[in-house]
Amino acid sequence: MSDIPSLRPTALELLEAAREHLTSRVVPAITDPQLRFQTLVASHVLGVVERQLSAGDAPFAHVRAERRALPGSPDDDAALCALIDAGTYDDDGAAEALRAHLRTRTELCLMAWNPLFLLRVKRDR
Amino acid sequence: MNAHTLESALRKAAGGEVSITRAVPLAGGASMETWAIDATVDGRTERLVLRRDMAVNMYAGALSRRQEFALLTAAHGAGVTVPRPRWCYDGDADTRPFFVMDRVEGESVGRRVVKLPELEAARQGLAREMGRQLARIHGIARDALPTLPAPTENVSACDEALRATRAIADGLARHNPVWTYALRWLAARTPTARPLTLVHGDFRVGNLLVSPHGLTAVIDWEFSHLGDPHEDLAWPTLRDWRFERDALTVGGVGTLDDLLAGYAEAGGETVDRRAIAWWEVMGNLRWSVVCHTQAERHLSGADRSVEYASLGRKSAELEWEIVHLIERHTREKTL
Repeated sequence: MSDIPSLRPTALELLEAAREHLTSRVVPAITDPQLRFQTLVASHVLGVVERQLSAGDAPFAHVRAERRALPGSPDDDAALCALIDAGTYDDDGAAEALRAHLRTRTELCLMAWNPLFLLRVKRDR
Repeated sequence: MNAHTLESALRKAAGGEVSITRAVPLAGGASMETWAIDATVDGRTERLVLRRDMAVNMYAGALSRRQEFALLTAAHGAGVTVPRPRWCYDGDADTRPFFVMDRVEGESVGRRVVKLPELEAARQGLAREMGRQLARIHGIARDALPTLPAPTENVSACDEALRATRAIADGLARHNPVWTYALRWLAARTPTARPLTLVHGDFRVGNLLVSPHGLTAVIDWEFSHLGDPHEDLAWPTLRDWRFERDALTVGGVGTLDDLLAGYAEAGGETVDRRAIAWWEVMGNLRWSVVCHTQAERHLSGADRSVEYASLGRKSAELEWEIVHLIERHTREKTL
């Protein structure tokens, strides 16, 4: 779809428009605190999708490659969990490789969910 | 629930003449309906809070209102700072079970407790006061308590927490390697079992009322159980309860040393810092699993809500913290 230049706004631009509408027009008009909070959450999740879409598939491909490079070469998360349960990563070296991989993954999720969290806590490491 | 139903419910519980002058719903949890009520009861003006079951109870293992009332009564008797419990009603065809307590002034929303300028003085001593409250809670004699959820006989509180968390995680079938790794890591390091005590179960900034003069009440006892007191000492230190004041590890208001100083001061048993560290990882793991449980309420169609849906993604914050804590304990050889 992205190779149809006339297809505007793009998916990202549409999400952005909806998010801006929620935050600048809808939220200020809401008086019920619970509804206001939930609408802010709705606008936040649109931002999450925007960030995930703009990052594309490359970071996920990186996670898959990194997972496959772990001891036992797991092809998916079910296989990785089975290897963890079987004790494959109990030795110090393997455990360190596993933790590095888990860190890559959680940071990837946080880039979409809450990049500010990541900035804040990295100062704390 | 309208004012008329509230009034007749309150009349049944108080067993006297009741007229409600004001009833305002308070932002409650996901499993409870909470009302601030001004009423005249037998000619006396009362400022009250009513907590009532929702139609659907979301958390298996959460206390009934009758248990919560009995527990509040025991805590009140033991000198824990709680609202005075007043009446309890087990419900009938017209109204779901509820109980009533005195209304205490104070801010409960964690973010505001941590940030409001007028609470600056209260924040100074808050972590220490939290420690004193926990010492009193953990010191309540077992025979003064109502029947509460407890680990299976001959199973330690730590093993019980591992078992319960693994069961929920398996039920969700997320194949989350952070959970699988954390469960294995924790199982290899369970601290020495302690005699069971009352555990509040959700003791943190956000479940306390705080006025400019300090802590005015410990609230939200619905997750209380018998367990390891270190669980309660670790829970308020979770990063998610620091409200972005990361360096102040107890609720964004103080340090673990402050909390433990207050605990010792009020007669708390000797504390094992390794056990607190273990329960901190466990707490993050449980909160992460609960986030996905909430997301599942949305995904299954049981309870569609963008807020629940978003919690599935929020879990990444807890998962990051789990990996971070395990890395730190490995590096510093603290667990």
